Amino acid sequence: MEYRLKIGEDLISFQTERKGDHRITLSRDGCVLDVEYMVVAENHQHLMVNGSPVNAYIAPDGNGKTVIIRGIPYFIGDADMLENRARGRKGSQAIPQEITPPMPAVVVRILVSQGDRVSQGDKVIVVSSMKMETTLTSPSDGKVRAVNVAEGDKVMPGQILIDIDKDEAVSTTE
Amino acid sequence: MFTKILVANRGEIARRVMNTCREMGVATVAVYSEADRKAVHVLKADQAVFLGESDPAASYLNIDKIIAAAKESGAEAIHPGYGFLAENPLFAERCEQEKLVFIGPPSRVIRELGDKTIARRTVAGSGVPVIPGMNRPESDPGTLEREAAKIGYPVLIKAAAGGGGKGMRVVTLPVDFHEACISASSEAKSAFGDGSIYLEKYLSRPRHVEFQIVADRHGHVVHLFERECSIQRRHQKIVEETPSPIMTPALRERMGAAAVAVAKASGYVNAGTVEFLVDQGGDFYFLEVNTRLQVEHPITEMITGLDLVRIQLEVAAGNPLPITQENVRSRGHAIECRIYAEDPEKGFFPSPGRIIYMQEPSGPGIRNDCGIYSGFQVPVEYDPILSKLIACAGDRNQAIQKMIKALEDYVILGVRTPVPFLIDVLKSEAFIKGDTFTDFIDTHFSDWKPNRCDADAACAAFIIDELSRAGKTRAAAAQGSADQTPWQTLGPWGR
Repeated sequence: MEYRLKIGEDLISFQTERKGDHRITLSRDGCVLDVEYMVVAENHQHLMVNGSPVNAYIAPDGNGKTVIIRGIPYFIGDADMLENRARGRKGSQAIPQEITPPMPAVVVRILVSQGDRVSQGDKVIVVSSMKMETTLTSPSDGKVRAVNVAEGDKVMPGQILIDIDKDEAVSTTE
Repeated sequence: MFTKILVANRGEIARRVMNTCREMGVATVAVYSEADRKAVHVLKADQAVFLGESDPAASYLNIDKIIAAAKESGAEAIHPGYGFLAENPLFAERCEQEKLVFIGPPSRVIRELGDKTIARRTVAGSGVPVIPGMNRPESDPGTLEREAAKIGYPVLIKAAAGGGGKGMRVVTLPVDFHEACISASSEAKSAFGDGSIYLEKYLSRPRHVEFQIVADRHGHVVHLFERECSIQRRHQKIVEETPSPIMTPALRERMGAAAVAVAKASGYVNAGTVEFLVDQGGDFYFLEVNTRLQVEHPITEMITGLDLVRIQLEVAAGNPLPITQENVRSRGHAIECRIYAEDPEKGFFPSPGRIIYMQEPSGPGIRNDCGIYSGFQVPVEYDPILSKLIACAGDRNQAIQKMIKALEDYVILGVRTPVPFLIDVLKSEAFIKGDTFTDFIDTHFSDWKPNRCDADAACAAFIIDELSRAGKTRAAAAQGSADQTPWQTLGPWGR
């Protein structure tokens, strides 16, 4: 069975074969890994990788998983699944179109009011996470339609903090 | 001894203080905010008082609420931990007024040592070398310019009311001096509400060496040796060790005596830390006094076998110090690594989240002062310290090896931590040689990325996890249809 994995920024393809109840081989570019495994607990596997013991700790992380081996985290995702998700979205992902915090945070200062005109790049709201302040800016020229939060509110990534009506509809081709 | 103490703090330090209280038979009162309802210090306390909303001003920094909590719970004394109100002279004064024992120095001492220029004057008067510089803040540009010329460039502009790097500017060329003063003063004004500045000689490549002192109310002052805190990032310590790699018995004796002299000159009581800078020539200069128990105090405890919080309680209760300078001994080498919820691969950006799974290292000489547990939601409102990992061994090389192994065994899933970065710092040639200057990270680790040599094994683990989850789903589906016995179909007992 083939697995196409994205590990960090790299794409690797593995051919896997079951060799027994708790044994598989992974092959890539002529390199073969013989892996005997024991699932110790939901987040802990004990592996024998080509005869060397490895304790691997694993947990779901966003749209992938994080594996920790010898203290170092590896972020891994199924490349096919990640691609499908990306194709499903319209428009460019490079520019954040929404005013949303990059991580769970607390609203510190709101710099605009409903009805204000803003230009692309204008500072609109300041949030704080673990004593580190981040300023979010307007993704486009436009007018503030609504301020959805108040100072002191706890906010999450994905939550739209400020709604901005863009000046002209900029059409993005697929 | 007190029968009940309130700990005005949270997380790992509140837990650590309460551990000692419990050992001594002293009842503990925790205080907590909304975000900390399930925090470890609340779970471990004898009593817990809710303060209110998570914002520090409404909770851990709120003097009225904390005093009220102490009175309501019948606590006789308050331990402030570090940060928050620990060095707030108004808080210490309020405790004194309310007949609550503040476990720390008198409010007058906190106030005087908290002003950097007053501290310099006090210390200079006691014969301890201070960094060449001004003893009074100054705003007249002409005077400042003359002082700078007297001190000699490069010159460091500092905020009189400040710390943490704010309001600081290094000036190498006289032509840049005037502008730098304006900029430093403005930054100080917005950070501390006070734009006063003063000047010091700028030491290049200094080492940051501090001495732990303890003093009782009977005039006894003892130093408990030094700590080297030179691995810092943006003026925040991340690795500390004792003994300092550059310390000699002669230097330790002179610096220790200086630390004791500073404590005596300022009328110090309880635990504190005297900080020095040591320049390339081996000369040391007083920097400042931290009038609290410090984050890195565990390394001193490991090499001396003493419990500093126990000593703090004894002193606060009016008892004499249980040790003398003659009978204090240091043995072996200890290193501490601070574990923050920060991603070292993203510029140490905060990494909040829920701890999905964790496994702490353990073994002889390993200590982990930990404020988190599996399932805990790390709050975004506070400093992101998760735990302090300490390793103690017979000598420095053994302590380094022990710390590296402990870091490799420390598993935290759910948030990112600097563990991989710390492993590489400890393995680096510069660290092993003891070349730990305050510019260590900028010099050796400015473009760091971890060495990902187990990528294949990690991919194997990913695939195995997929297979075993698929297997479980199939098994559960199969179970669902077959063999429905009454044991499975009967619901819970009615209550």
